[in-house]
Amino acid sequence: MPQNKPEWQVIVDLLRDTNPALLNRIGRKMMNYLFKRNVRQVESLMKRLDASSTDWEYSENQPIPKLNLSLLEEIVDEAFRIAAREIRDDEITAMVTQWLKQEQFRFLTMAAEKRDVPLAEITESVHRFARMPEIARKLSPEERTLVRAALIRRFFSDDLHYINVIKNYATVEDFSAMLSRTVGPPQGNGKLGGKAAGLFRAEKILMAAKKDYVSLRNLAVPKTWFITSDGILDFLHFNALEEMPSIKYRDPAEIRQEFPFLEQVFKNSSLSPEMIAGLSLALDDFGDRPLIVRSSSLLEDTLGAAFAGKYKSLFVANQGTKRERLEALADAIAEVYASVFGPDPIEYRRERGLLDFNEEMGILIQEVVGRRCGKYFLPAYAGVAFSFNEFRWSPRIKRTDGIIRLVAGMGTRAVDRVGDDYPVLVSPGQPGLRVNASPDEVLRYSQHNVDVINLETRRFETMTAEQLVAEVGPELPALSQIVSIYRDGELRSPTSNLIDLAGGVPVVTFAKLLAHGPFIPQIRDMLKILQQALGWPVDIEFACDGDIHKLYLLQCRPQSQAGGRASVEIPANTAEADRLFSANRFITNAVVRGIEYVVYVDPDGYDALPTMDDLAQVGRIVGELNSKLPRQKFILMGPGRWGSRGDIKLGVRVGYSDINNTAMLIEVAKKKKDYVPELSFGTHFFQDLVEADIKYLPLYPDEPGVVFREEFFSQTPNQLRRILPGARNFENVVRVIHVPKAVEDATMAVYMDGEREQALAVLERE
Amino acid sequence: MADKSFNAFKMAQQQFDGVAEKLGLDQATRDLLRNPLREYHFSIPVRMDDGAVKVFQGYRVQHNDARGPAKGGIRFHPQETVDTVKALATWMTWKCSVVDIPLGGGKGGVICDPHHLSEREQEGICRGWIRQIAYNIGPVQDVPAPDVMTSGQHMIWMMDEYERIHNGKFPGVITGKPLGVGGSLGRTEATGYGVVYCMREALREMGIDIKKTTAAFQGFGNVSQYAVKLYREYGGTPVCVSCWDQTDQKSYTFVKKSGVDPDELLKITDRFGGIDKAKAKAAGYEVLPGDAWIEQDVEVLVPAALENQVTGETAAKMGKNVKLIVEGANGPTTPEADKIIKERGIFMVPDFLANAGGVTCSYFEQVQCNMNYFWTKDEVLAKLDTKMTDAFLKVSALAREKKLYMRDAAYMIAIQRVADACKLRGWV
Repeated sequence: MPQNKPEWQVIVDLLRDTNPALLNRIGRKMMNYLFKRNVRQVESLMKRLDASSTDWEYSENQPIPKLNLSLLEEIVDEAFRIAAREIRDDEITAMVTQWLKQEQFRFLTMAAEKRDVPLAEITESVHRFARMPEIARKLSPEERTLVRAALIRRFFSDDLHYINVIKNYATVEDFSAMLSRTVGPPQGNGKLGGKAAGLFRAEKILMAAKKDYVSLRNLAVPKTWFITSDGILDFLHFNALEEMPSIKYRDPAEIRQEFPFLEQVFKNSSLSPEMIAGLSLALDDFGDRPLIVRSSSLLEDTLGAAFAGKYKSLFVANQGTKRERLEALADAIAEVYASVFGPDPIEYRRERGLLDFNEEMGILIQEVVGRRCGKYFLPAYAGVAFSFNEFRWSPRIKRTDGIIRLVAGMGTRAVDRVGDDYPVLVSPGQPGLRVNASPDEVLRYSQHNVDVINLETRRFETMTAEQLVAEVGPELPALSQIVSIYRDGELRSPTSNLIDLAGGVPVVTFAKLLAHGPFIPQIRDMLKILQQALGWPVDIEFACDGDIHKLYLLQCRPQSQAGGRASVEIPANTAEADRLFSANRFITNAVVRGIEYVVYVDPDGYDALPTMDDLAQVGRIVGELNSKLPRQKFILMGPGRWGSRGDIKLGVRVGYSDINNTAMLIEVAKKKKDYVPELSFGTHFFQDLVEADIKYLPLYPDEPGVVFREEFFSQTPNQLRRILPGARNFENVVRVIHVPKAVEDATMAVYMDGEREQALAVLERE
Repeated sequence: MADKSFNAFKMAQQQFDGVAEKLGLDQATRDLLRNPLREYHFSIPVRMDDGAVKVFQGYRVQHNDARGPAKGGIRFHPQETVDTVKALATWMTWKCSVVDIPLGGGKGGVICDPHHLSEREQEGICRGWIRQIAYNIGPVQDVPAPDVMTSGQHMIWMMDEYERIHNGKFPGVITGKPLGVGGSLGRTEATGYGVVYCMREALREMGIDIKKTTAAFQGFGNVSQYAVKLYREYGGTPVCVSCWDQTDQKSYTFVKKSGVDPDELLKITDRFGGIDKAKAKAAGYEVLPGDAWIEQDVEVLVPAALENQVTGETAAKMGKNVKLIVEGANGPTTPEADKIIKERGIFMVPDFLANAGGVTCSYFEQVQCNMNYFWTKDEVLAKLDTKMTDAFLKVSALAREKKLYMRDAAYMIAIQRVADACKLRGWV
């Protein structure tokens, strides 16, 4: 035995006496290390561990023999002997020391790996790890992956795709930062919910892409606190409302009737003292910035069930004394909790077979992006963007370029369809192609109202854009990027920040921002990167506080197709006699079934009308039919571009209220002499169609391979006279086909498969 | 199919033929004026945003320039037909002639749909249009202006391209430009004021004191707003205006017997000209159905909204005291209504005379541009008054002398002047 034992030897000897299990793990690592360093002798040593190489009679179908402990010890000792012979002492010492340090993180891997470990415990472990000096935080790659995957599973999702994508991006430090802003029952094992998961994933993917994309350099996510999904269970328990979850099995009508009462019960209940303490910390962190309380349920934002707008998201102004602010926040949380039991989400779950799932509701408390202007708080602009454009207003726009719905002020007006107000629609691939062309159209189809938070009344308010500009004026963030000035029939975007409002009307156009600003590349790159990383189209929410170079990502989820329909299958093998028309250009995903009436404006009849007044009368007749026929059970078909305010010869002149009950508008481009008329796509009231979710389909009956059973539309008995006796003079022009009468007990259905650019209208029988 | 459909040019020719017959024009003059002098058709290649090149069809029709440079709009329209453009160019010749401004008639455009074009692409079309016709238009040849789906911005691009080609400043090449880049003051007021100048002169000739009259206005757009304003300044009492209500999708008439105050109404009007019904009621206005304007007990009717408003049916509802109709809108009166109006002996100032204030102001814009000296708004409006008054007096004198309906007199005087110019030039 040498005079001076090397340091590693001292450690190994000590471990042998005090912690043989640890020594075994270190020894195993040493064997692996030697193997990697190509030390031959270790192979025979490893063979001794391999049962199949022993003399035991062995077959695959019986348990392998158990080695006795002393043999293991012997092997470990032998490993260190080989090491001592083959590598330098200081190297061995360095390795052993490092392994021992890693052993300190066993708490972390164990805590993460364990199922149902309480929030308090795992938070403590993660923080302990994060607090260690950076140099000490070196996990081996496999351990790193293990911990990451485990933490992801614990807080976000068991979904393998999710874990697979995100484990390459999220670090333990990220979790530490997140958990220091997480509130929940300390002994609970709740997750953070779908919305939190989606945002976290998107943030990590985009942050990793920052180095390659200039546009994303100033991308940020607003400060966010989380409440774990079992917070709602704690709330129900604390207020003795445990019977609530069973409500979902009740009769839908009953749920609808009882919900307003239930909501008040929730709002008059209290959060547990632990939760209140957590929220108090959150409020100290946020200060008096306005907040948004967003639902983040376990089911929300998962692929195929986006729950868009089903659960509540509520704004709180967060003004006043701490006590007032805390009360307002708790009240908003209770209301979001109540929305789990609301009739709409329950119906939505029932339709998707998700009713039996034990839904829990996590919550995101997010700083509202924006700044104070006078007594108001608002972002410069905000909106939503989709990587897949279902609403092409021009044949030149590519579906895969995506679409942005952009508004000034709070993004609520872009997220929801408000009916009589219009966000700016932009295709990031062709930002110059706007829906509205002439100054008059831009004026009419522009955003008239702006959503703001009034810090004095502490309320979420809607005011007209003009009023806001008049009241706050140039202080409004990025005003010159957002408005153009309408004056004397001309619309001009400001040349500088010196905006002259005299005699003009500010109109929200985003002219400057879209033409020159960094905004389009920001959104385009975000959509591209996210879609690439995730493998499916995404739907993001964003806002800008006034610094146009900086953009905040607020939310990211899989894009749900219109009506929640991901893809449409056109029924195969329909009888030829049942096919009414087909189309193969500019198709969006949609299915309209149970059509009972077709209002068909005969292209030739329309063309032959002698006077402008007669042409205008067709529009009026359509308007009357719209109010007489059963809502959503009829469709409109006719030549050219509907809703044209310009030349009436181009198509039936109707306004939005003349068509708002129809399920679908079909524009027929029948060849006239030698040209095919252009259809409306984006023109005129296209935005009304978008906002009202009226399906739109262009038909080109003269194209090869297209079905168009003209005789069905032009020969079937006309019901116009029966429905509108006054319109009998127009029977050659306006034809009302009652489908079940025309073809016994049939209704019409239109299947539109956007991915394959195919649409088919068929007769269906129950 | 196409035969049965509406052909604007055929209609314009028929209308001309009727007047030519009354005037007893010789065959050569008829042949010349039935058709445009020149038609240009050309291709405009434009580099699109995606790098591809698309070729657009452009054209310009100069119907007649015997009285001066052709004048008329440029339309961007996907289904433009040359027949429509020829018809519109013809009507421009008559319109410029009836107000006796030294201009001829033209019209042009590009077959395109701005809805499917970015701004940059539209700029490309505008500049391309000019490049193809830069030597056939100009301040002393043919002066375009905005029309369907074109705006002041398009005009500026065109002017700029023209000036590059001709190496100089020629703001008079095009009108309808924004203020500050060759636009004229007074353009907003021009049409409405012109209507009231005609009304004032008509009443004077009829021996009626304008201060003792009441008038009903249909519409509350640009024309009506300024017409009401000036009529009040002259001491008349406007008892109603009407407007389209976007929410209800129908129009309403706002009546105040003591006199409509346009400034008061404008405060409660949205940017599309829709008046707030509740606030109007609070301000003492009676809110009636849209067609109630024509039933008011007034001396003067001013249809200044849409075409085909005074029909056989509605004309029957006119108040018994109506003595004068001034057409602010284009084509508000149908032929059946014209019959009733003639029978009742109501004096009529036809549209293309009454609403010629707009084109007259365009002419002023051109004049100011050519001398590069711009008048104040008062100067513009004073000159407008002189021009319109003079035009009106000449038409009414002819009507009186020949016992003609004013509409017929206006067409006759307009066509006569153009025929004279052609004759003097030795063309026919």
